[in-house]
Amino acid sequence: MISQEQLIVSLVLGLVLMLAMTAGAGVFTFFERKIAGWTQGRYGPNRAGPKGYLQFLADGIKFALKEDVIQDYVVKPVYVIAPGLMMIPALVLYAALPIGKPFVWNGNEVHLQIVQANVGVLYLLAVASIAVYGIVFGAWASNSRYPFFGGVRASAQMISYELAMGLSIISVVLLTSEPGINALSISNIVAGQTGYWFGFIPRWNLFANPVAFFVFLVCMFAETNRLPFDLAEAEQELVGGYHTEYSAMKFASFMLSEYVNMITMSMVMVTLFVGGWHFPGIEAIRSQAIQVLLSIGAFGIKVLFFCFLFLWVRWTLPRFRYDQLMHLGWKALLPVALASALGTAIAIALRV
Amino acid sequence: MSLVIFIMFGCVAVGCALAMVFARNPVYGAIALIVCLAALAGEYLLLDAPLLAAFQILVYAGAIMVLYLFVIMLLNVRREEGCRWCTDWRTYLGFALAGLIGISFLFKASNVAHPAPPAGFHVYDVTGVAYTMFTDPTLLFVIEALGVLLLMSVVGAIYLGRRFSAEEESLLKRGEPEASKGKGAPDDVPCGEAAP
Repeated sequence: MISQEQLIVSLVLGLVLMLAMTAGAGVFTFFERKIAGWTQGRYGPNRAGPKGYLQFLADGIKFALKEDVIQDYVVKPVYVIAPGLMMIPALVLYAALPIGKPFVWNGNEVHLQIVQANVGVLYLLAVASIAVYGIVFGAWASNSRYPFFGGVRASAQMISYELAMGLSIISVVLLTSEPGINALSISNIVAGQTGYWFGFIPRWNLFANPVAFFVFLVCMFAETNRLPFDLAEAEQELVGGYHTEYSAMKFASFMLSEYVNMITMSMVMVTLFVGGWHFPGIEAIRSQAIQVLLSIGAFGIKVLFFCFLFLWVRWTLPRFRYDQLMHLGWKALLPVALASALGTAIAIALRV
Repeated sequence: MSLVIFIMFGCVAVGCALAMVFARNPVYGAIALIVCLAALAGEYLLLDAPLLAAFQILVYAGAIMVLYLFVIMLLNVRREEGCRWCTDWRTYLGFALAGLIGISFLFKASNVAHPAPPAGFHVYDVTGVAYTMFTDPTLLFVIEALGVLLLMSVVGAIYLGRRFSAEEESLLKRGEPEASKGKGAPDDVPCGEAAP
């Protein structure tokens, strides 16, 4: 039974994170364009507001006021719910992620986590696996060729990379597993990364198994349909891919959910591989309040780094060809992830 | 409260299962099946089996149904022709059997004795499931056999779906009549043979 304090924290956290994610996605679109400009040696948006910082508000207002065109040839019920189906997984995925150090309040231990599922890792995988439906239904319901190609590509791609992603997560679960500890619970995974090797290297899974980290990094890009894996919406080949026929707020929710997905995948990455809220030296801080605040800050900074990585890669690498994408997923990442899981298991069996 | 949610999930599951059977458009049928599977996952969750619920979503709703949809969309399966209610005798047979099973459940459900799990042992979490799976030798054998069966089907699928190499292609063509050879591009003719 959860305590009253935990309930209050969960509810507040749910509200705050929901607002922060949607607002953050809006700001993220702005920074994407700004960083694109920076990478390519141009200004980027600089007209709306001081130095262009109100650009995302202007974009939002534009989307809200535009005419919402629904073509005659679309399959209307599916067409209308598809953007919502895209939004839901993006906005429930982070519910199982701890964003700060657990603390004691009125004698009860409180986790900075909306839901404490004891199958947390499987929850992440399950929600990530239904994220593809928004794209597939949107593409099919548009009843038009280019979106359809985009949807078929997206479903093949996301299924292929889910396998490698799941296998790389198995390495993490194996690294966490100890007798008497539920290694599927995400707070235990983060707690397992809090120690040090030789007194100064943090026991983050990134250092324990860098192979799984890189596999997850690549799959992260593929699962969010970002360059170099954005074949589902390759604008040079497919006009706009699965959201070609969408306009106004429906298109905006497709786009926003892509950015929310990027933030949540960064959060998952940080939680599973980069130690979550842990940072070196956190044990030296005496005050609990400062410790918790700094842990939240550390989590945020790590997440921002991976968000930046998404943009960095996007404006650096060109798009893969489709056969290269499938080759990488099935012939390179899957065996490597399998070997890394096997290697981790052997290492653990030899140590214990 | 949880009983109310349980009944709601049950109604959704049954309704979607019926909708799947009666949908004329295969994509609508697939959507109904996805919702049905998700509602079943909700039922598992309410029955204190979060592991099963997660696997239900992960495997069935998340992977298998995506493949189903992929195939339906790729092959562009058309709407079924014909009227909605003029079904043949198999449908009625199916309903009769489902009704029989339902009635037998109604009679039986009230006096089934649930075996109590050993003390301090949660059957439904990961440890419990793993313990049951890897300690019961017959169960272990069944699971291993299923694994081999799946491997065999994968190998078969790869064999059927692979692209033949040029050498095998020419071996296959040797049995065909001479006329079909002439249609290929000139490069296709093996060196030793004269072009017809």
